[in-house]
Amino acid sequence: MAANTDAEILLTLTDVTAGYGAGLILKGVDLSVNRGESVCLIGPNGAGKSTVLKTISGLLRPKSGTVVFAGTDISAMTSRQRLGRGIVHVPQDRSLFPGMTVWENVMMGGFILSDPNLVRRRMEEVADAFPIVAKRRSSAAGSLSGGEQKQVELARSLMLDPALILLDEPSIGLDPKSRTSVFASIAGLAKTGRSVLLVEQNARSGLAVAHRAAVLEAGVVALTGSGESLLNDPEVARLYLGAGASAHAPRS
Amino acid sequence: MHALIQAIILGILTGGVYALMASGQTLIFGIMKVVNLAQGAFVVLGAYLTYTLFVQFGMDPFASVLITTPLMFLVGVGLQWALIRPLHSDDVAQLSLLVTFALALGVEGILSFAYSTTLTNIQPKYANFSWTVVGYQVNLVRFCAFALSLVVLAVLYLVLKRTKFGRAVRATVQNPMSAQLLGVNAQRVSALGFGLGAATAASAGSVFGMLNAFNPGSHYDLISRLLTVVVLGGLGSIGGSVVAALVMGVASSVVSAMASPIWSDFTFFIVLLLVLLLRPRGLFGARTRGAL
Repeated sequence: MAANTDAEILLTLTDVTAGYGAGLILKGVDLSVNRGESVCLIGPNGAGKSTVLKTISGLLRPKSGTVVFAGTDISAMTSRQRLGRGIVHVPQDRSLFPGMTVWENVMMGGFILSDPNLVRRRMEEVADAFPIVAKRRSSAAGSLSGGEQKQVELARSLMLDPALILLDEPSIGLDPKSRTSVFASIAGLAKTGRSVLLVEQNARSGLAVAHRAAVLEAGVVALTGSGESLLNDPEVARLYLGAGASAHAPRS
Repeated sequence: MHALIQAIILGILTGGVYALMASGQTLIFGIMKVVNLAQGAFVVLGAYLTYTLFVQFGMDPFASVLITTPLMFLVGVGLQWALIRPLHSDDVAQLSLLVTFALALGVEGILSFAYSTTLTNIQPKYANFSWTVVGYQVNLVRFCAFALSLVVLAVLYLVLKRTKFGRAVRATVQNPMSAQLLGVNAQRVSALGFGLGAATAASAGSVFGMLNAFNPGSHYDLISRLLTVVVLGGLGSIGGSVVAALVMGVASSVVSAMASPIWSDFTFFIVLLLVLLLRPRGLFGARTRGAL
């Protein structure tokens, strides 16, 4: 995908450090996401990719540095406050409620909305965008396949009509067909004008749907560029796309 | 055969009350992973509150549920806020055992001071009234206690299934981090859940006091039975607890009638041992886990 230029900045992380207990995982992260832009974060295991998302969604507070969203410093805000501002986080592990129906799960996506009519309207919109929601609405979410569950998670993430969606390893554990379907949905999200910050081990697919990408190594951003340029970067290809991988962007 | 069926009827009616007590225990465990060792003490406290309303104000024990249940709900919310909330989440399972046991001892001590340790019970005029239905005796109080338990359980079911709060509770039970990411306030859900657990104990306590002689130390026997029911039903499954309570009620009653009342108390633990040997997750642990 071509990079957005001259776009309005939606999210900026400046010199962010964060971690658990006394240890630091993020050691000064600088990162930005523009409105309507998809950014893919790649890097080795333990580099802190998921921690970046947690720091943005409020599951983890930065120890230093700032997280600015839509012009406001949200560093000290709770995850619920950030949710209310339009930041939705879809975590890596399966995040559906397995004993609740698909419909109830999607409804939970609008939990902080107080207007039932708005919730109902959003659910209808989401069901139109993701047919699995209407098709399996009465099924227990735990009975769905991994790929179906991920589609419902993506559907649920739209209930608040968010400005920024944080996706943590959406393709992990999925079969190739489901993976293709999930990346198609992610590309669809980007086309609706929402910003997406995607963490993905499957770097080739992640970079292919991203306008821009960043490589995170040992808690700092080591490299940034367009998704296409990183796909064509021999060093990135060697490290993250598999040795001897084609330097040309594949695509679905 | 007549004695067996009579024992089964008695067991079902008794089991319904245990189901009510255990549903609160299960709810609290499901939300907070807290094994509430004070649940038996809450039942006894509910019984004493009912006793006071009956003796001092002449209030019917069944009607007193309308006062004791909301009162204990508020007490439960307050206790969660004061005692459980400060515990660090990583240690809550272990520390809560100590805290809730201390709470149970505290309730026992206060009740002993206020009411003495002499056994008492609540005896409304209709306490010994029974119907004969196709040759079998059905005690009015036991029947109404069972009916009350069904009504409270039905209300609990509707709250969990049909309300926004109920969805938040089930979401928190099934995936706490995901619930938080969707804006559920886990602390608020925990406080209200603990309150609901205490409220079910209070409503069960009102009828417990009519069915059994009790004193402040009765919670020891109660909590051992409740833990048996909750483990047997599969930790965290209210439906499982209800079925387990009915199974245990019937088994205990049948053993009492067909063998000896002495063996009745052991029935709970023998059945528990057998089920855990054959199904370590309890009767419904695997199938309905997360289905609170």
